[in-house]
Amino acid sequence: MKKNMLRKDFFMEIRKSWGRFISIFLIVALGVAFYAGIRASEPSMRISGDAYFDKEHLMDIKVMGTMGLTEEDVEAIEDVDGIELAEGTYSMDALCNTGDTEQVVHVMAMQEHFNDVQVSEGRLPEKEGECLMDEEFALASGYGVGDTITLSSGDEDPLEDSLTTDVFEVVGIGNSPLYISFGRGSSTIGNGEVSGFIAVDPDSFCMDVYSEICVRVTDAEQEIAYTDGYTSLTDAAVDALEKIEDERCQARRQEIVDEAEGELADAQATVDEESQTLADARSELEEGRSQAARELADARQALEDAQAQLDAARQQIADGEAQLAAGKEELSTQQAALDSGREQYESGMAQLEQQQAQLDASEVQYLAQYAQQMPLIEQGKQEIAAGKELLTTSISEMETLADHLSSLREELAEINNALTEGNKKYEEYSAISDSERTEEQKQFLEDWPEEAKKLQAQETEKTQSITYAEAAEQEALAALAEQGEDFSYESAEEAVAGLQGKMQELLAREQTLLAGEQELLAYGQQIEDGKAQLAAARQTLEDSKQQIDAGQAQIDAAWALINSQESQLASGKADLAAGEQEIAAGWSEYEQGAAQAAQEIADGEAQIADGERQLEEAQNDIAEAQAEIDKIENPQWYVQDRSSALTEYDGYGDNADRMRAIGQVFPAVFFLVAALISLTAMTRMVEEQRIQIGTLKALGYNKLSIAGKYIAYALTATLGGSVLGVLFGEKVFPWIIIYAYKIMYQHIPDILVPYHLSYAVQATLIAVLCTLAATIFSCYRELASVPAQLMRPPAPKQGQRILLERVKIIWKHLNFSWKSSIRNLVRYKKRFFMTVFGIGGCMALMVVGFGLKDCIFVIPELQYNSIQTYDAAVYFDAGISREDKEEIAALVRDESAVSGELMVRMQNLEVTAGDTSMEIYLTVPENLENVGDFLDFHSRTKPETYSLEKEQVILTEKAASDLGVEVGDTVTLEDDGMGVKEVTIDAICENYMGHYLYLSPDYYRELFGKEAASNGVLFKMKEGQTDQIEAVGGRLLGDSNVLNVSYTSSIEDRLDDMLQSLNLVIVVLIISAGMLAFIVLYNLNTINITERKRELATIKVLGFYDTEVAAYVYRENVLLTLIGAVAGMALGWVLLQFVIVTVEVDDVMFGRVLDLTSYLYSFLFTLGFSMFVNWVMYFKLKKIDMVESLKSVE
Amino acid sequence: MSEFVSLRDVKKIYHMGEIDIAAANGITFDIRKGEFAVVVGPSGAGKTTVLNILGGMDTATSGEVWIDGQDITKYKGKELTAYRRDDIGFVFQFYNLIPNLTALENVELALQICRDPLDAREVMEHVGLGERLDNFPAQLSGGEQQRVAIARALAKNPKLLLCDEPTGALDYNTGKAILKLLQDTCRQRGMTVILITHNSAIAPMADRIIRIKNGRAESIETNPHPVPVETIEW
Repeated sequence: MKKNMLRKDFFMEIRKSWGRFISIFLIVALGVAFYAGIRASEPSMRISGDAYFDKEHLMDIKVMGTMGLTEEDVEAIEDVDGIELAEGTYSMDALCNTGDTEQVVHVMAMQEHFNDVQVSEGRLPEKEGECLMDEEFALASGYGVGDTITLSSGDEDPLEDSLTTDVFEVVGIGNSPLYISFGRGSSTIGNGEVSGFIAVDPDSFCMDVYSEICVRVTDAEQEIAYTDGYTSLTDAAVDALEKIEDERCQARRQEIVDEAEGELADAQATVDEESQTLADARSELEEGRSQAARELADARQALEDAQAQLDAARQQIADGEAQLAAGKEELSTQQAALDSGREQYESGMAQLEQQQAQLDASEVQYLAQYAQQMPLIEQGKQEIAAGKELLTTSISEMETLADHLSSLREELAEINNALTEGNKKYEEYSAISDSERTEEQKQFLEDWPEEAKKLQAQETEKTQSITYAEAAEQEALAALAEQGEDFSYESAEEAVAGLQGKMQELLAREQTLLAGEQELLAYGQQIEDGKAQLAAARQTLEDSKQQIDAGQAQIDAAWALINSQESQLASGKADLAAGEQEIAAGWSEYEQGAAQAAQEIADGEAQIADGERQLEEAQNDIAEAQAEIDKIENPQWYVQDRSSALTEYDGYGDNADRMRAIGQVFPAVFFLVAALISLTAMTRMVEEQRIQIGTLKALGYNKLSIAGKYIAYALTATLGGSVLGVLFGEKVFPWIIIYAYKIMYQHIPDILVPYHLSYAVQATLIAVLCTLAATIFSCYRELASVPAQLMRPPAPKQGQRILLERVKIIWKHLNFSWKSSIRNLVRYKKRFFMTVFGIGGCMALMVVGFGLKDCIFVIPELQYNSIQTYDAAVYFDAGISREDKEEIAALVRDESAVSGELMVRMQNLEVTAGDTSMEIYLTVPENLENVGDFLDFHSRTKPETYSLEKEQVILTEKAASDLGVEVGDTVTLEDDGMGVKEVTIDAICENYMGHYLYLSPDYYRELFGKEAASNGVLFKMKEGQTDQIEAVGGRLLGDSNVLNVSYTSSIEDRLDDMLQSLNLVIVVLIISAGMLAFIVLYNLNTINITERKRELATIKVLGFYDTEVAAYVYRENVLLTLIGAVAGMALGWVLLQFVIVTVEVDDVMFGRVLDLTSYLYSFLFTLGFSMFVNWVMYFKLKKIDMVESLKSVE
Repeated sequence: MSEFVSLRDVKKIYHMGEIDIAAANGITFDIRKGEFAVVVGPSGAGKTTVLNILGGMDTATSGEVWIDGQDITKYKGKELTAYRRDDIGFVFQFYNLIPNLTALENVELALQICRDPLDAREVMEHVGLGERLDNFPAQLSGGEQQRVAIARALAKNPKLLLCDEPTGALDYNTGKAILKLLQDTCRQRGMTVILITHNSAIAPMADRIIRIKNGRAESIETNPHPVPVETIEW
């Protein structure tokens, strides 16, 4: 009965205080739902993913070999313990053109046992030349079922080496479990990023070896992906596979080496053959060369002889010419002398002519005188003359006769004489013996008889002539005698003498006459003398002229001679020229012949040299090939588990981890608030019912029975709430969150949200314990009192002076409402703290939500715009030469859209400090000049910037904190090749993505004793031309020495994608926070108003308007909200730091700076929720009955 | 003019399901300005209803209530509040002071909303609490608290001072002192005071005694010679 009544009271209590019951029920439900739900999200995500992976038979391990994999490899792998199944398959990257862009497509063969492809449209490829296309890629590129896609090779190997066709018909569109999100991985061809995959029939591949082997690990399917159970199984399998790697790789190498060496031997044989042919050709050439040399030498000899002859002739001509020249010289001298003589002659002639003129003048004078006197003389003379005439004629005649006769006689005598003399001589010479005779004598002897005959003839002739002359004498004497007796003479000579006497007589007479005449004649004589003189002179002159003319004639004759000789010489010269021409012709012929021969030889040699070079090249090639074969290292296997083999696989797991991190913090806060609320409610309930408790106690109920009601009440509400919370929360929250992640991982088809009992029990237990503890504590306090005390109203709480009152200035200016409100805040401490905590919690949750978004979303921005400011990194192939690297750097530099480049060395190092060690990227720029353009070293917390010139060793922030080192501490670098080195950290710089240790090149050299060999180039695009970066990257990938190009923009995009899904999570957080805020505020306000009903009624009675009454209450709420919000900001910040550190993935540091807008939004949201609650409260206030004021205090 | 407060056939009927319960069933009385009126009656007679209606805390179902020439039954929400604010001073049985305001502040709280208030300190002097201005209610005795309440009501300078069993929670002597204060206030300030009590012993001190019974004004008598409080015993 007793129990029954209590039970009835219990049920009545619930019905009566339905609002309180429901509010505890709901807040517990909410807290539990949130706690269990968010926590369950992590395993549910994994389960959903795992279900998908198992369903599509996603491989557990992928094995790739640098030189392909064979059927033997597959078998060997299958034989390894712990391996359930292995299957070899083919895949490759190819290029295809979609629209105007070239994109990389991953072509993979469909497999029997692994990685089932799901068809969302069309069907699976069934034969060669058909393909199923990646759904996302089809969407982005516009391909549809029925279209064809044409592939092209992205490297030097032709596509035909790998694929049987380059045109594929798209027969289906679908997805592969290999690609659970947007990322398709990277490639070494095209722009370096795979845009999508196509799945084809294995028949479309024509590779000799498998490109990869998919492996299923025994029992791995039973484990949930991403869990330790799964990871340890696959790790063990990976280890086991790596154990057989060496053996398999050696076998594979041997296979390749054998094949290559066979080919090489063939090549060597060909080369040897060629080399023999070349040797033959060479000896032939040598023969031809010597023959040509011989022939040419002969021809040269002949030509040189002819030349010698010609030279002699030339000498002769030269001599002749010299003589001629001498002769000409002489002639010229003579001619000069002659000319001077002629000149003398001319001058003499002139003188002569002058004298002649004088003489002529004198003669004229004389002739005048003569004409006057002469006739007289003439008369006398005539008379004498007549006598004389006669005489003279006779004399002359006689004389002539006499003379003629005597001369004939004389001549005759002479001839006789000569005859005699000759005869005498002849006889004399004849006497001399023939042998002793001189030539002259011989001659004479020979000539003489002739001569003598001639002389005798002359003698005869002369004798004749004398006879005739004597006859003429007699006749003349007879004629003379006729003149008178005086004139008769015996001989002519007598006649002459006689006649001459007569003559003398006449002469005397004549003398007189002649005296006069003489006078005249003297004068005349004078003239005549002059004339004679002149004549003589003229004669002399004439003579000399004669002589000159004769000389001239001689010279002319000599000239003629010279001329004739000259012409002779000229003809000689002409001959010579002809000869020379002939020789020249001979030479040119010779040269031509020689040139031709040389040409032929040269050609032959060139051909041989060519052949030799080719041969040498071939030999080199062979040597190189041999070297390469020798160099062929053991191929390497890449044994990859899912997380290293699949692009986005890990991301999904990371997101699940992130959810766990969120689940560790948020629900706890939420739950704490919920627990506090139910605690307040229960405390309040117990306090309210103190009179009842007192009464029951007074009636004699034991403590347990009394407390039982409240405990049962709390338990019912809490358990009910918990059950509802678990049922609702564990379904809805994981579903929402996985649904949010499906934005990214849209291929995971089913969201599996099983109940996770552990979280349910955990949450319920905590909730029940909290409320029970609160209830028991409250009850215990009340039950400890005696009934009488309980039945009295509790002593009214004293008004208190508060600190602010001491500040009179402020206090005086406050009106009473404010004073009251402020005092109220202080007075109801529990309410104050509860409200502040509730509002603060709500605010904090939102700050964390927004802040998480800020901190994560800011990463790419900070990392790639203010720290690593380069736009892309180009990685070199391993082991290329310094020149090739420079060449790539030059290629980068030559791109017009690139503003600068920097060669760097980047490598992974194990860095150790104390007990912790981690993988850190060592980065060494090649030069320090423009490092600042690519990397910005600065502190996050202090306004300090660093440079590698000053600080030689700079470590990134997260690495430093993970390693627990500070500036000045020492860390150990460990690298397989370079051993262990210690460095001291000079600075710690802000960094968000990855871990880096920056060393200056000088320090690197100092440390490792060698230059840092660059293995990549960072480059930066010009402002506004960043959209060309993929084109630039594509061109760079065209260089065979470029391994890869990675763009910061794509990292940024990928991050952004990944973080998008966080948005929804944050929305969930904010809505939950809002609900929390609402429930908290509503509860507390309700309690507040209930507690102060009387007071409020009183002020209503006093005449406060409704709004004034509301304001009276709101003032407190506003103050509490503000205080709570400020506390929430602080709490949120602290919580955020904690969350960030918890949520952070190993190699990422989140931003630490909250955006002011995040505070603002959180604050506005909080204010909004608060205002909403106050608005609801307004109606509650309005309903307060003033009559309450008349009631007694309870 | 002389009828400062005038109730005409005031009815207050509560509908409780099928049944109508008349808390006031046609109450009619008048009170002159400056009178000290006492409304007496046993519990449940309807005096609280009268008080509520006079105080503007409740409205009559029918009838007229004239206060200084205004019919307040016509008033609605805001007007009623304004009426309470400006015309009425209220003294509660349980004082109803704001616990976390000092005595003076409690008075001032009322003053801040009123048009023509008196000086708070002066009023406090008047009620004899000149020394306890800065004490919180919890630090005051019941009588002192009631004095503060009276001061709070007076300071508003109301037309009408309504007192609901002001001595109900007080001991005999203190109660008498409070009654004296009220009487003095009425006499000295010419304040119209309506005191509601179940204690008919107090009646002789009033100028007018209204007896309420079963929702009606059973008798209204004027007392031409009210006795001083000191002489009253109960």
